[in-house]
Amino acid sequence: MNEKTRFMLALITPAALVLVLFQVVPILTGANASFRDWTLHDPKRTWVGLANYAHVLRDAEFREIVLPNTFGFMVASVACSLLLGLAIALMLNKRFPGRWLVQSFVLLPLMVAPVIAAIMIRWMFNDQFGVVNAALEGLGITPLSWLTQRWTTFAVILLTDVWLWTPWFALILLAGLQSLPPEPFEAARIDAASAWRTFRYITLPMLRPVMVVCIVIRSIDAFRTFDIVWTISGGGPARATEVFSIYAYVEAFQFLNLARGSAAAVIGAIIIVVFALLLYRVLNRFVEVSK
Amino acid sequence: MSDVAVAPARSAGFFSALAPRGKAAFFALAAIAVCLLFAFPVFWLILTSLRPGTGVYYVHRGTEFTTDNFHEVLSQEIVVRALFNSFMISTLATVLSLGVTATSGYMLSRFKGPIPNAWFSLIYIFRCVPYVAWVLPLYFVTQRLHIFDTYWGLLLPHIAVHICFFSWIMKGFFDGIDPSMEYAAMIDGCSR
Repeated sequence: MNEKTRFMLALITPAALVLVLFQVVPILTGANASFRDWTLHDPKRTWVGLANYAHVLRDAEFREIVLPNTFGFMVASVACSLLLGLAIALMLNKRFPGRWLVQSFVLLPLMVAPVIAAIMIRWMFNDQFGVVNAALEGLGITPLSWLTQRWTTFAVILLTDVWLWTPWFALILLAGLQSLPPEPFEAARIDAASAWRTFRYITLPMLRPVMVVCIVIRSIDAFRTFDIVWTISGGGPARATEVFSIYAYVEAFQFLNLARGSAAAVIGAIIIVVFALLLYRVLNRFVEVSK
Repeated sequence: MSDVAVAPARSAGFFSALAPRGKAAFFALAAIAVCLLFAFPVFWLILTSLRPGTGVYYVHRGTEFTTDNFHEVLSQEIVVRALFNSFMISTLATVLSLGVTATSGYMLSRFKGPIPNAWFSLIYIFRCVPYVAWVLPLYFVTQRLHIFDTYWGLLLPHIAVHICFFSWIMKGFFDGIDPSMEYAAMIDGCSR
């Protein structure tokens, strides 16, 4: 037993060492900073307790714009890309001529760096020179100035995120679909079940474990999205599309208040850890019940 | 039985009422729509890169094309160097993280008990922590370790980011490998 324990520890030592040095230590340093009066231009580093946390939690910007934005973005992005990804995976699971072509087109977004995709989409939605407005004008619809209003900006960001991440869902769900055993489907066909019933009562329940992992991983990542929001809108117009990562970044690096930024980051970390544990538990139960 | 016999007729009704072979046409249209949707921004990116400087404002109008942009970018030494850096960092980070996480994924997959549970929760929690929470302190840490502004200073945090996700995936793959072969080897006197 003792030897076994030592062997287990030896196996994780390299990973744990890197993890502690480059994640645990920086996070603790940041958490330490969040309890102090630590602005970058005047680092007094005096202990102020929970004052920074209180300030962030009292900030109307944080409560009424940042949190709803973050959660709305997370739910909408994961739901849309899951549905689209599932549809595409089902489509690619069939055999039809030109399947490889569709597959390689669908995988294109995975090969583009998110920041470059975001710059491109921002330019496409530009109110004067963008191709989207040109197309709208061609169809006789009044062009919109997309990036100057809260909800249209939000929609553009959402569209970019869904565009970027649907292929990821499609790829993983397709792999899941192809690893399903064929017998239940044959049985269903012999019983003359309709396509919808086969999907609803056979494909979906058997695909659930894969979907749970996808949803959990993507929800966590969507919660801490930074790059595409920063590139497309910078949190604007007038901080109306700020998500929580942008809020922490702006507090720390633009208002140069490291302590307050760290406090915001720690609050966000606590929220997402609790949320992710709940999500994992709920989805896990869901899967076990459905078995 | 009657219920079963009715179902396919009902489901076939919608598309066959539209047009003969309507279902195939609908499917083809959906496939084309999906292709367009995913390829368009990339296509637009390539098209924009081929336009001269003034053409950027009206990419959809005008027909002058040029490859000057590519010449200009590739003739800058810093771009070539940046490409080389990206290549080096991504290759090294992947190889090193694989080496580090293969053992940790194996451990998560093969053993049960408090230590693997604790390690898994640790991984799960640190996967959740937002990047902003540790990017700035990371600056202090790399400076303290005297690896600031070096390859190592970029590589090691990269590996740290990968550890959580890779260990999780590795665990899945090791779960898929039947351990009975390992038991047989152990009976024959192989060490773990």
